[in-house]
Order: sequence, then C-alpha cells, then structure tokens
Amino acid sequence: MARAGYLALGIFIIGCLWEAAIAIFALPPFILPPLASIGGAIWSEFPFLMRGLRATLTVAGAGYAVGAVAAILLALSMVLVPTIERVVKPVIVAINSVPVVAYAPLCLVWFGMGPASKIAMVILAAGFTVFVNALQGLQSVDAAGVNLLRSFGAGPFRIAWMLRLPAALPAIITGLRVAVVRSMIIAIVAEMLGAYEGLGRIIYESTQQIEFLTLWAAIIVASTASMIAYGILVVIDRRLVWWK
Amino acid sequence: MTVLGGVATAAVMVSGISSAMALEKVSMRLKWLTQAQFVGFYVAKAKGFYEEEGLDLTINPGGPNLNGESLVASGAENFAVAGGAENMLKSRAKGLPNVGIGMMLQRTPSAYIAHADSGIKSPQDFKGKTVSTFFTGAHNTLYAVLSKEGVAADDVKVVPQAVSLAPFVDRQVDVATVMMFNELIVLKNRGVDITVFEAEEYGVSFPSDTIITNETMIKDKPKVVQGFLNASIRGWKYAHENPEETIDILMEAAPSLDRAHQAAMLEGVSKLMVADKGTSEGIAVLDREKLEGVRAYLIEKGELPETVKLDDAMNTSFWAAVPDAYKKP
Repeated sequence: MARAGYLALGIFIIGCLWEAAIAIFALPPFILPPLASIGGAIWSEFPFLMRGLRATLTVAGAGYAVGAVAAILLALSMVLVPTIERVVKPVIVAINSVPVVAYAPLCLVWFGMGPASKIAMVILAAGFTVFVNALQGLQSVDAAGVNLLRSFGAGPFRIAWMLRLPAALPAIITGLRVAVVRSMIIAIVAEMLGAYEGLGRIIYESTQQIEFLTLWAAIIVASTASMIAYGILVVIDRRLVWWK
Repeated sequence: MTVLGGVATAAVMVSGISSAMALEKVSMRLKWLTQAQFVGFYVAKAKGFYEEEGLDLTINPGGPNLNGESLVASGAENFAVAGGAENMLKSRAKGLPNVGIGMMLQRTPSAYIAHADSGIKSPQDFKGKTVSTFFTGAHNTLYAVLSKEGVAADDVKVVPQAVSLAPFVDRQVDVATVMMFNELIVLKNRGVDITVFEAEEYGVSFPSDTIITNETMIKDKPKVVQGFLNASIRGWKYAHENPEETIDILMEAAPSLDRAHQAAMLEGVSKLMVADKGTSEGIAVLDREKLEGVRAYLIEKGELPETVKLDDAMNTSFWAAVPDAYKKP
C-alpha cells in the first residue's frame, strides 16, 4: 500500500514538473502537450490503443514465455551436461553481442510482417536475459551440498531438482523480472520497424503523420502496461522466494 | 530621427559586414536517406550556390523515425524536404508553425503494382484483395484513388507495407505501393512481371516533397529563406540539365549508393519535377489549383478542418521572387 502511495506521489511530481515546464518555457503542444490533452487522446482513442496494446502484449507475452522456458531448460541442460555449455554458450553469447533489433530486417524477411517475426526477436532478447541469470544461479550451488546429496546416492537429475533449481530460484526470478520489461521494449521497437499492428506501429505512424497526441497516448499506455507487468512479477517473486 | 536613422544604418552596415565575412549557418533535413530524390540540394551545395547566397548549409539525411515537419516546427532544423501536400496542410491543423515555400514533385509519386497474372486489371479489382501501403501519408493517395474509382475503403484489406517488397514478391499481398522513381525501377530491372496503376492516371494528383520552413524564419530571416530557395531551385535545375555530373556529385556525397539505380531515380524524379506547372512556370512551383484539390479532398474525407486555408500553410512570395533563370527549365 505504501509503495502505491509513493508511486502516486512520484507520478504527481512528474505531472507538476511537466505542466510547469510548459508554463515557464511557453512550450508549444507539439513539443510537450498538456497532460489533459494527452488524457483526452487516450480517452477518445481508447479502443484503438487497446487493440494496439493487445497485439503488443501478445507478442511480448508469447516471446517471453517461450524464451524463458527455453532459457531455463537450456541452462539446466548445460549444468547436467557441461559439454553443451562449452559448445552452445559461445554461440548464444555471439548472437547476443549485437543488439537484438539488428536482426529485425532479417526476421521480417524470414518470418514476415506478422507477429512471428516480433515473437522471434522477443524470444532472443528475453531468453538471453533469463538464460544468463539461470545459468549463474544453477552453477553457484554450494559444492558441499552437492557432495552430500551425491553421497546419499543422488544422480545429477535428482541433485538438479532438489538442490540446484531451488537454490537458483532467486536468480531465475530476477532474470524473469528484468526480462519482462525487456520483452515489452523489444516488442515495441520491433513493431516500429515493420508490423501490421501494435503500440510500436502506432508510435511510428503517429510520428510520420504528426499526430503527437496519439504518440504520447501510445507511450503512456505502453509504459503503464510495462509497469503493471513488472509489478506482477514482483508479487510472484515475493510469493515464490519467501525465504529471502 | 537622425539618431534613429543612424542606428538603423549602423545595423544594416553591421549585418552587411558580418554576412560578407561569415556565412550564415543553416541546416535542412531530408525526408529519407541521401539519394537522387534529394540530389538538387547536394548539387547546389557542391556548386557553391548556397555560398553565393551567403549560406553555409548542412544537409541532414532523414530516417524511418525522423519527421521533418516536427524538426522544423521545433526549430531543430531551418528547412526540410517534408511529406506531401497533405502533410503540409495537416501540420497546420495540428498547430505546427510550418510554411511550405516550394514543392519539388508536381505529380503524385506513388503507383500501385499487381502481378501480371493476378487478374487485377484496374483499381476496381482491388476489391477483396490485400493492398499494402505506407501509412506515412501515401495511404491518403490510395484512398483517393479507390474513392475516384468508386471502391469503398472497407472492401479492400489495406495493410501497412514493409520496408522491403518481399511480401509482394512472395504474394503475401496482392497489391503493393511503390514510388515511381524508386521501387518501381528496381522491380522492372529484376524482370518481375507486373501491372502498374499510376495514381495520376486515376485523376489523383497529390504533389509531394514540400520544401518547408517555419514562421520564425520567415519573420526574422526572410533573406535567408529567399537565399535558400534560390540556391536550392538553381541546384535542381542544374541537376535536371546535367544528369551525369549530378550523379558524380551524389556518389561523392554517398559512395555506397548504386550508380545505375541513382541515375534512373534522377530521371524518374525529373519527370515528376518538370511536369505540369513545374514545366510552364518553373521548378518547385506551388500549384495552387492542385493543392486546393488536395485540400478539398481532405476536407471531404474529414481528415482536415475547413478552417485550414491554403495560404496559412504556404507562402508563394519566396518562390515568386526566385529569378527566372534559376527556375525555368
């Protein structure tokens, strides 16, 4: 509850600074529109913005889910079979050493203008974030604990399930949390580069058509959606990793 | 009186001296990356036409997420080659203090293409088909063509077009939008068998590539505005008359471009530039009759409030003052 209060206070302060800047510097609306007109644009274009948001959330959500599961499985397989790590990890790092959006033109050619190309990019971006955290978590298990379980006759799978995964959970959840916001960012940027629908497309087109109120409305909707998604992950974090 | 006169004379002298000593720095933004579509400005710069007008011009290329209208409105750029006539009018409706001072392309630059074996013989056959177009202004032209041909916009599935024409070549879309001086040339060179529908053929004439500046420039520095327009139009005339040398200048400015494609693009751009009143009156003329037509169309479709008048959005006095020797093709 207190957190929500601080959030509201923060938003209120930003709003005051915003309106003050317009008044003090006599900023015209195409530089910084008054908050009331942005609110009006959100209101009048609500169905349009929600259609865009749904498309963006679908892309971000699907890419996030697939990427996260694949990343955890991959990290797990590397812990179980170290050879996989030696072969696959350099490849993954190499792919991610350039910004994911650099693959956007290729993704558009391979997977088309529809959601598939955007999902592919989110899988790559979200997956990598979760992967790095998961691998680090799975590997940072106390050696004495592993040896103890081994002395009781536990195999590598049992050790992974009973010791490594629970121990890695805080790191994995951190990865999942960071990846939420990253998924939204990549989904929107990817949509700006070519898409049939989504908030990114609305942002791109309203820039080109000089609809600056629609542009701001789309940015605020995107930001609000990201914050809500992040908040949900924070709650999940507290429920799952209760011992922290 | 004499004191005031003296001050005024001194001010004139100072400004005269400073302009003789140092060139006035100005900048412009292109609507897209450096290519033959904007070569006239590069020619004017290379030939020293801007310097002759006392200007030191920086040409900044555009990009997918830049908008010349916003940059000029905010004062980040002094000039821009912006969107079509519809954007010139719409930016006034949005309260942007932009003013059109010239129009590079006298005719609609876009056309629509279908595969020759698709059975699409006219825009009327777009009914029930998927048509891709750029939602950056070009969509207005498409809807105007459909409306002239009596096709309801709802009967056509209009989707945003990708940067590449791959979806069209792969037949994911039935009809795609092309710029006559760009993608159309590429496709024809690749030997793709296509049918072309030029917007102009269906009575849709939306001039494009508006040269814009803002109200502050016009009020405070009318001489700079005039000098910029003089030199730019002079550069374009030179480009039109000396295509070989023009492409040399372009290749020097952007060596990674494909020379043959740029030469073809210049030819295509020239045809749209030296056309209609661009031929009879001069390059970059603001054709009042055509622009009034665009305005009427936008008002009819509810895209523009009636309060936006042509003379709010443009100022023809600068173009009128450009010497005939510079603008008459």
